[in-house]
Amino acid sequence: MAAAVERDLPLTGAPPAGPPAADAPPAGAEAAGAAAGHVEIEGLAAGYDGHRVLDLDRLSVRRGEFLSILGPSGCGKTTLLNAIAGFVAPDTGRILVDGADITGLPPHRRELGMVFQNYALFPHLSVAGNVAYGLRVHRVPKRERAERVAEALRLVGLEEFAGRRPRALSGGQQQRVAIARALATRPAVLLLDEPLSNLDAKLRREMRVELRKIQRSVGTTMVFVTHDQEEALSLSDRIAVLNGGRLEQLGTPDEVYRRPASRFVAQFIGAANVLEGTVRDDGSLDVGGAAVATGLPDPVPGREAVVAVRPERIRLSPAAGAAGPAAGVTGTVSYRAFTGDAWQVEVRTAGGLVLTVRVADSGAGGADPPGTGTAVTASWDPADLIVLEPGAGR
Amino acid sequence: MADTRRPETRPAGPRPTPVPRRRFPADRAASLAGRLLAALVFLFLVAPLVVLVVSSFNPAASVAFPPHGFSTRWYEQVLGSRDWLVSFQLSGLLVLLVVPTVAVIGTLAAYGLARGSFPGRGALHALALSPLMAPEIITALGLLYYFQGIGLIDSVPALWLAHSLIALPYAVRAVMVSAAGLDPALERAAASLGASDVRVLLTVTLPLLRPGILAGALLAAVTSLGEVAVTALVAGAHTTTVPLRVFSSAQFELDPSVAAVSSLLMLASVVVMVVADRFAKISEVL
Repeated sequence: MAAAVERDLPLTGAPPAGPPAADAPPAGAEAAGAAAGHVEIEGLAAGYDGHRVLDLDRLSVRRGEFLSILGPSGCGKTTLLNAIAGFVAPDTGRILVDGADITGLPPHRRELGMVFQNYALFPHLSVAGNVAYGLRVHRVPKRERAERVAEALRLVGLEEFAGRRPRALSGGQQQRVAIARALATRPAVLLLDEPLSNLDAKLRREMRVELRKIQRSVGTTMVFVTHDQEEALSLSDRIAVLNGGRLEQLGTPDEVYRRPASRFVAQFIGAANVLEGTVRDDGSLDVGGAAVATGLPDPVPGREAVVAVRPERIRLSPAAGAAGPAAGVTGTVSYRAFTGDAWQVEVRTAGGLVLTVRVADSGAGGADPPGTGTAVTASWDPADLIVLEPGAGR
Repeated sequence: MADTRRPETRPAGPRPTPVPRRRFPADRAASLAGRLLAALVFLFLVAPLVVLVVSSFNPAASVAFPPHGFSTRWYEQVLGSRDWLVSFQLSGLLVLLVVPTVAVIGTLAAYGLARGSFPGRGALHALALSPLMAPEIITALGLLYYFQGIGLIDSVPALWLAHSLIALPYAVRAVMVSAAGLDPALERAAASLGASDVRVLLTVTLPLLRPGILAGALLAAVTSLGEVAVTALVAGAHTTTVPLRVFSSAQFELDPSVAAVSSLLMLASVVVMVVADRFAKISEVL
């Protein structure tokens, strides 16, 4: 996951006057990444009408990093982005880009790029005019401006659309123009506000790959706001999970997925089954009256514990005898649905506990999970148990 | 499968409601009646203008319709008349004063009302549109008393102010339509690209409000050119606008010269409309 930046295109870091031709500096020279900014957020709080929607102790975005801000709607992620961009004035706290405090600066002085959910392309300008807008504002001379517009459009693969009006382009093309427009001024940081959420599913997956490629090639620091966990997992170097205006966890995609720091993170990303109960004398967990052999590593009877199991980590087998598995629970299948590459199954235990299980489809109906009403044992490897609150002695 | 009468018939299953291919005779009659009604309404709207234009070419000194013969003598008379010339100049001057005034104030007011969130916004909105609600004669009386008090009666500034007041709500409404459709993200996008507030206004906001502003300006021009009620009370012997002179001519010396003047005015507004519509789709806003 190291942000190994391959620069195919000298879009950032190139000296302002350098045409992208033979005299462009070698890739290594630019790797210093003059345009990749480092963002520090300290004690940032913001709200509307006395209602606090954002309360961040500390968040730093590393140079050249792709950081996703992930959370449900209303978690403050867009407010955070708007605070960085300067469209929301925070109540307290500081925002620093490359060490310079930008908290008090108006949006147009911050030198950050922004990509909007609805693209926000200027309808009265051509595609090239849109991309050139920021360059005109920055008084880039005409010749260089034309070169940089062409360069930015080449980066997103839309050179031949330069003369078109934005309205004549598809949604995906419009979003690429928006990205080109934001990158043309070579901002230190690019802010993206749910840029893919208006696209249809197929295009969204394609744009995800595209976006990652672009980020790799230009090396700009990107802060990407999304409510789509899959998007965040597949795109990011690191993910900041926000809930209720607070930072729940900051980590690489695999950290956040495999070792969620809180129940919220476990459930929001990957929809884990959360089991909450008291540790019994035999080491199993009493979840609402039902004994669940969870495989808790160091159980202390009487303690409260919260653990989670991912749906795809649970195996289903025909109901076992009295012996029972090392970690698992018996119940009946209460719901079963085919989702294409997998089955979604719900297992209800006698105690009323419901586990969601994901069974990968084995093709041709070879090993379809049992139908509703069948008695099954749902078991998992104790190593796959996510311990949220250990309930162990300490 | 057995049902092969029509190729587009869906296979078995619940039969969808059939879409009637052939119209019932009643439908045809209704459609015909609708067209006829539309034609009648159109005729009703256009007929007075046609009568006016045709009458203006009447060789006789009467307003008889239909005229006997063809002549441009009334046009010659109007264009050669000193009185009419003074009125044309005055009305032209007023349009030149009123249009920019209304366009600037109307645009700023409409943008503020559409975009701003401040206490008293609703009240201000109502106030900006209030001249539309009050009968014109009441506005006229108010202006008469007021201008009388400060000695502005029978002056160009009085008419300038009066016409601007009457035309403003139309412009505010026209620009508000454009402003309501203006995505705030566009202005944010411009700011994020480094554009200062003034630059955003000049390069993004105003170009996108242009259809509304043009429509507002056009409405202001037409209002100023056609205003009678308020003008009659505020104007005087030295400030007889074209519509005022038309009014008095029609009252006292009913000859086709009035029709000629009206036809000229109409021609002017048609030309302006067509030209303006080429530059911006104002018809969407009007």
